[in-house]
Amino acid sequence: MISLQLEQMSGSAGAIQLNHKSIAIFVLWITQLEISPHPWQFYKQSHAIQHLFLGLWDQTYITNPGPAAIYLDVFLSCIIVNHDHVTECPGAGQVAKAASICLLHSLSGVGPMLAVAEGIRQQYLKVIPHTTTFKGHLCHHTMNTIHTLLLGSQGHQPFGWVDYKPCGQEHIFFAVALAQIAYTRRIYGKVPCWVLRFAINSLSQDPSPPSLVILNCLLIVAIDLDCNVSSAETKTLDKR
Amino acid sequence: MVEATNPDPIYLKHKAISVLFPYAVWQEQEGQHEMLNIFLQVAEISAQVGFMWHHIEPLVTRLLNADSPIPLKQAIILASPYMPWWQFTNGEYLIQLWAGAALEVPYTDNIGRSMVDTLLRVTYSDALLPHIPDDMWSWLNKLPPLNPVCWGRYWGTYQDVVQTIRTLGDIEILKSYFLLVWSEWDDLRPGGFFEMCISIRGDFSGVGMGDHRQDLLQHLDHVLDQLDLGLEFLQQHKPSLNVGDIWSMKDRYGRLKKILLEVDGQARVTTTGKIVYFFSVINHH
Repeated sequence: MISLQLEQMSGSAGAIQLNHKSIAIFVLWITQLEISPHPWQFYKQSHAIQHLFLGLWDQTYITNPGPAAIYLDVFLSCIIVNHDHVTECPGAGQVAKAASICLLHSLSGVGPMLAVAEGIRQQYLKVIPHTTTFKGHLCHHTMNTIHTLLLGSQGHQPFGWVDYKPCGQEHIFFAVALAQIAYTRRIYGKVPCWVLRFAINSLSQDPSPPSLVILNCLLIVAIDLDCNVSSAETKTLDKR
Repeated sequence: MVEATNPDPIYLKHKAISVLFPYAVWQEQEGQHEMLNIFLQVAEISAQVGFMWHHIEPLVTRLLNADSPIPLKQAIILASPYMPWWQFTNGEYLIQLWAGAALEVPYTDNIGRSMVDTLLRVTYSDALLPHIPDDMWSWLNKLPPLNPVCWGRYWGTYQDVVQTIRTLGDIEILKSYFLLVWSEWDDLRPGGFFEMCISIRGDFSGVGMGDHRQDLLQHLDHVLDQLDLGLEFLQQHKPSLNVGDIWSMKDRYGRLKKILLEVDGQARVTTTGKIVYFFSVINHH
């Protein structure tokens, strides 16, 4: 079902539209895995999903902070922060996961110095302090990445990728986002070491990850090697 | 799709090149050697600096295991001289895996060079030296041609290394070790040099060692001849050499030669003495 939708959409859509649509399908797929039977939680999830789609269908998400703010809003509504430790609200794990991936995607193209990032950073810091840890969280790799992206060296928590073994589709989304981060960060300075560590971990996996993950990891290397890579190419590799 | 703007800075991008290593290894399995070759070139120039080896360790461990395909083991062995073995969390176990994998890989000069280079380099670690299986030292007998820049030869002449090899009690291995590390490209460590002098006087003395002494003398002549060619000539292959290195190497290799000649002379005198004594006994009877 999902693969059929992907095929239909990829035939007509442009690169950025394809991004949005495939993320939307991914969100649908991931939220289908766990729908809470509890009426209140179900309502909360549906509300969150609705918000996610509002952001996903906005075609100008890279320059517009709206979607990132929406994803962050959804994510924050799915978590509880207690003594610098984050846990998911009961039954909201999958929505939190989807929202965090969408947030990562919307932040991946944003330069660290832009006002967009500053707005999101302030919103984020109101709920999640610098010292927060995400260990044991369902999407702790995504959250660690977002934390580092938003807070830079202040929010840097040494995190590894050794235990990062996502399913194929999620891995592809992550690789695409990190290739985009590599590209954006290279413009402002250099490719972060944790992005290179993601690539080395992904390429070391046995069995090999999906070819799109390999391609995006190689793209990360190419960007760090100062090869001529256009932004369009980081998008084109996002052909799921 | 992408092209490098300037190839030179690539050699400075060690972290990025490290990321390519796992991919290069998988490419080997498909018979494509270009990427691994480039990786090895960069690693040789870089002397380990800046590589993310720590993150590659799990892959190395997995690929050196018994059920791993031969081309993958071969790729790891070729890269092994450039790995910081003493920094690995599981270096002792890796040494055992590496030794086992080496037995399965078909011999070539490149494999021999990598094995010997790694073996000598590992000796730098006091913690790892005792864990080198004894039979691994027989790789020295292959006498593979080592490169002018060879970190194993550079690190592998400390006193405890010479002592360890002497302890094996195998004169062929000891001789091969000397033939490999006595080189115009690297000076000897002072402690190692001292131990070598003792070894020549002890292990290589006597009539039965004549052939071994001749091999060593011949090799030292070659090394001293090369040193006589001068700094400019040698720097073409190893730019880091300086006048002080040449002077020190000429001195040390010259002294080793002198000791060898001395021991050889004593052996001849002893032999002549024994022959004279033998004939005098016969005449007396």
